[in-house]
Amino acid sequence: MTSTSNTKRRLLQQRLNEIVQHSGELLELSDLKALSVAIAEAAADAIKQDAVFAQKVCKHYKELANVTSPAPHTGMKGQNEGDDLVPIKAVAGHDVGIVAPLDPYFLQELYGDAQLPKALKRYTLKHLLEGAALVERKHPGTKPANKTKKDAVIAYIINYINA
Amino acid sequence: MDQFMAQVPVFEQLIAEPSLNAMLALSWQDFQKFIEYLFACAGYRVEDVSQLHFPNGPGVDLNIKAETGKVIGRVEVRRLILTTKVDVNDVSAFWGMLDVAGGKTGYLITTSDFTAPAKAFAATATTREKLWLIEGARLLRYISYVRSSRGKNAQGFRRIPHPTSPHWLFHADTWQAARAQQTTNHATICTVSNNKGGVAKTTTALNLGVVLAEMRQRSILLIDMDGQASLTFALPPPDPAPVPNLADYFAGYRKLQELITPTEFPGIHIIRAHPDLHAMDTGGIAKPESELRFVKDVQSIPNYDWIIIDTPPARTQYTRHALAAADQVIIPVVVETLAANGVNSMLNTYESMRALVGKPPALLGAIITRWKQNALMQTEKPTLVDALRSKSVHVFATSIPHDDNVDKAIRGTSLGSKKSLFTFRKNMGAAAVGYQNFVEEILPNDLNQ
Repeated sequence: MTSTSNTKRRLLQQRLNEIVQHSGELLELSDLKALSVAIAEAAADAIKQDAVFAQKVCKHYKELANVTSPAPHTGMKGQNEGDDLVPIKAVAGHDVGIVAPLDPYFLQELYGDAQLPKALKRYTLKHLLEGAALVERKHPGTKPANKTKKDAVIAYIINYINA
Repeated sequence: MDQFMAQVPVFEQLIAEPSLNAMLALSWQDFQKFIEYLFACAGYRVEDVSQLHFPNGPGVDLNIKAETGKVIGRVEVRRLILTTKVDVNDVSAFWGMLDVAGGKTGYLITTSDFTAPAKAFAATATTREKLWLIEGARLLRYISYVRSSRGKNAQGFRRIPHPTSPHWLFHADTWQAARAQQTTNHATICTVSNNKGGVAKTTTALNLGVVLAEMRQRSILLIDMDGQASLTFALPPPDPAPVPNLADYFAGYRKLQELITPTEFPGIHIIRAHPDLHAMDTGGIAKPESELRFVKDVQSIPNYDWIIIDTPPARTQYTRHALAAADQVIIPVVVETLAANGVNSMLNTYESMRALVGKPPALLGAIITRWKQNALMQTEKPTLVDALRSKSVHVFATSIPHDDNVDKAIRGTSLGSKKSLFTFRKNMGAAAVGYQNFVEEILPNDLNQ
């Protein structure tokens, strides 16, 4: 954790130094400490008056925050497993809720065979075992090779769901 | 409703999941019975007169009556395979029968369609607004509209308490066709809705508007349709003098455009709510005339890029009106056991209102709000996402994290501060970044406009 924080600080400081030095060359100003404060003050004024500039600042900030915070909890975008799953059809009679046990047949109908492994992988072992129980009921005498491993339970569901 | 007792489960299944093939699978007698049941659900008293041939009866299949018993329309049904269209001879014969039987409004209903000459016949000056040709596609829409617009009566029968004609679908189509031909730019009408409270509907409506106004330079009109008036409270008027509100519109003595008032935020106007809206609410039953009037009134508001409507957390008339008017519907959802439940009833209402206006919105999507990166939410999220997707609801990749700054920012604006969630503190909080990402997700191609 400490090592990550130090890396972040070094990266930001290095970037700041480069930008201030470059601005000093453009403006022909040599006191870089004073210049960095002057840039910050001018930018703060501009943020109040210019929404486009403010937007630009926010964009840069986000880029920097992403660089320095590998696992941010802010405004998550596109980082959820399964975001790229594409439903192949609407499925009637399935209410929205989070208390229903996992139904692999419903997932198969929603995503199709090709995407089913990926769809199942997002679920916990506990959920997968609920789903496997449904498959077991349709195929008495069968069961996952290992009920403590997600991969084994998923393999069992995939293997028997079309059997 | 005794005449339907044995068939109610079959008919209700058809109403729950209407399909032309399922109707064709009925015998012609049962199909006629189903239409009789449908009109009963739509608030009519229905009389089967198919055995009373002219001159002993009107020579049609059904008489539909007001609660008083007065005949207000006549119905003829044709259960036909989809390739066989009802022709002009059939239509003109029905029109002739209506004429000799006393000139009531007539509905000729088929599972298939009508030929072009038949449609032309029904569109003449003589027949227009008196003879309605309901083809299979409109029949499905009428069923969907009636389905979620009913309430139980004292006998436990789920029906609309007043006669609700299918002709409103035609009025909606005429208006939408006229709107499509207008050359002026329309505002994008975005309704934020979920029948469960506490899912950040108002926060989402407000901050969506603020991001679009402050960072995309869009002109925004917010409409607060919730009698709790939270959005109204969050954006007090710059001038403390009393301002008109939405209750004035629904009471009928103000036009919608007269209610637009400024806020402290440049580029954002608001139509305010008032607790009187609660008292005036007629609930989730059909009011097609009022619903379509609201659609027209909202769609006719000029000079805004976006109109964002915040809705109440319940199946109310205001939710129905807002969903009818929407080009886009955004559903804030929280990954919690009870919070997911409101989505189902909201989606039922949504389907009903889409059936009325006859066009799907450009976007129907859910955004996860008040997100916490904890094991419970991570575990339960796939179940919620898959259930939403099974209803054809897109789930946005962006989630809005739980963030105390949201409440602090709203407290500030409600006290007259001009600083939004995005500017009231030095560094933007998690929710502010989330809403920015959300706007980038729904408007990816115009970052610099």
